[in-house]
Amino acid sequence: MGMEDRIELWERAGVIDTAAAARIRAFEAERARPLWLWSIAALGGLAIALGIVALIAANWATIPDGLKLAVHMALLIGAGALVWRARQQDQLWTGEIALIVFTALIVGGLGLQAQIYQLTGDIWRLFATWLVLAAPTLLLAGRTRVSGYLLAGVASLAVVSAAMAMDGSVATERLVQGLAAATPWILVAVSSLRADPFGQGLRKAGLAALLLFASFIHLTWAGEISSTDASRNLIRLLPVGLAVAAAIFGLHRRPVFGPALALPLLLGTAIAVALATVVPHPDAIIPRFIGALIFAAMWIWIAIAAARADWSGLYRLAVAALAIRLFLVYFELFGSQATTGLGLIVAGFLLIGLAWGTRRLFRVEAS
Amino acid sequence: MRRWFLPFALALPALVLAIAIVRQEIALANAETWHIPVAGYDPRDLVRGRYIRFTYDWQVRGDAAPCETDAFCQLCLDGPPPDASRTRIQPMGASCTFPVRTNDTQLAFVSPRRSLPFAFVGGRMFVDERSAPALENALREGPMLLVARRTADGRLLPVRLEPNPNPPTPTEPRETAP
Repeated sequence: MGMEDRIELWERAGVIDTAAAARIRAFEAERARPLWLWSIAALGGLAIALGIVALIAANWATIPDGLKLAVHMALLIGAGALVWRARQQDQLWTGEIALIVFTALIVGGLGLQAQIYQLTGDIWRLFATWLVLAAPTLLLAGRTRVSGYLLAGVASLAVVSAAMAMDGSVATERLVQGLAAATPWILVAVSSLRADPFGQGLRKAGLAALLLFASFIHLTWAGEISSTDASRNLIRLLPVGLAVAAAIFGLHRRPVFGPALALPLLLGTAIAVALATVVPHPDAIIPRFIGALIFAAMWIWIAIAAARADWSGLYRLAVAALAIRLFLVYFELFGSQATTGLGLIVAGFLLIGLAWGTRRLFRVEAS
Repeated sequence: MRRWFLPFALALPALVLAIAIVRQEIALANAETWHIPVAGYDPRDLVRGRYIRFTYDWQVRGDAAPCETDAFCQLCLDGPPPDASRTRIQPMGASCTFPVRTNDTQLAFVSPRRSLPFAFVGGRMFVDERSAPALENALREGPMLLVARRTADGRLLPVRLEPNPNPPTPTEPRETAP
């Protein structure tokens, strides 16, 4: 529905009077920007940029290696200087864009050297080098959520690619995999060092990652965990335990949200991860059911805390997670068409009940 | 003190990348050039992404057992440069004028002859889009040479592929043939 339609609707319904409608129209007209003109200009800019990239790519083989390396080095130093100048002069977005370009040029430089000197090796080494070279600048010069997300992304890429390249046959490899598993909590811990939007971005990315991780890891309940697996996972959990402690300490020092929310988000998820990885169990119905119960307990704890803290977004997320899990139980536990059908009907009623309960809860709170 | 953190962090990537370039250039400056006979890697899959893959067609003598257990073996080129058609397997660090060491990550045991590390059997080289099809055809049709440079620390760096004027004769026992 367009703005004009809405104003007319509100006017007719008596929500606003004619004078207010006129004021809203005047305000919106004042605020309006020739969006289509900007769009065409932006399209033009994009076309030029793509053209330049294509021209360089077409002649890539004929450009001398020395020239490629020199131009890249000049761009990297230029972007770094721009970050420095923007921070000195307090230009927020110039600095942020320069920072993003700077970060991208670092990995570009690593790739360029790999190409020119025919370097081969695991991709995680490249990402880990990227993280080591880019993280200090992002931490010191990042100001907005965007650079917070960028750091979280680079860090996750480095540790996840490293964890996936290793088979966990030796203890050090298991510790690296544990470090990857601990990264969401490490991001939350690091985010408490900063009170600005950069810290918010880092924290949001960390929380999103740990909720996803804690939700997906409960799939291990649908398979076998031998006692060997379980004891190996204990080593993997060492870094996770340290990171959880650091995250809780960080949020205690800078209470962005109270302990009522911090505990289910940081500790509840960690408990779910620990139970899913260190309890030996066969591939059977009972462990699956226990896994589903643990998943539900984790999300119910989060939902209650979110409702009390008035975080309606997180509450809805928790309800959605529970609803999806509830829906899946019926595919897991029953096989035949009739029982699946029955299960779906029961799940449907439960979902409708959940939706109705949520609506009531937030109506009561709103009034 | 704190105000020096950001300039240092900003300079760090350029510094590290520059040091890496200098190290590569120093290693290459003292590298000798070798010609290794090569064949196609797999008739279906020569070009993978932007890498062309090939099988070394050199004669390999010696016992591959040390390579089996762990990656503790090296190749020793008979020479003299640039003739790299004959080579032998040695335990890592054995005396050799022209040792070829491959870094650990390359030593995946995926060779057609399971007893040899992949890097001793085949390699890959970054090629640009335009020359890839021509190289792929050439590798299918005739014997080729890999021109490579061996750095002092034993790394073999592919430079280019070119036609082989003296192909290895098929009567010779070629251990690396799949």
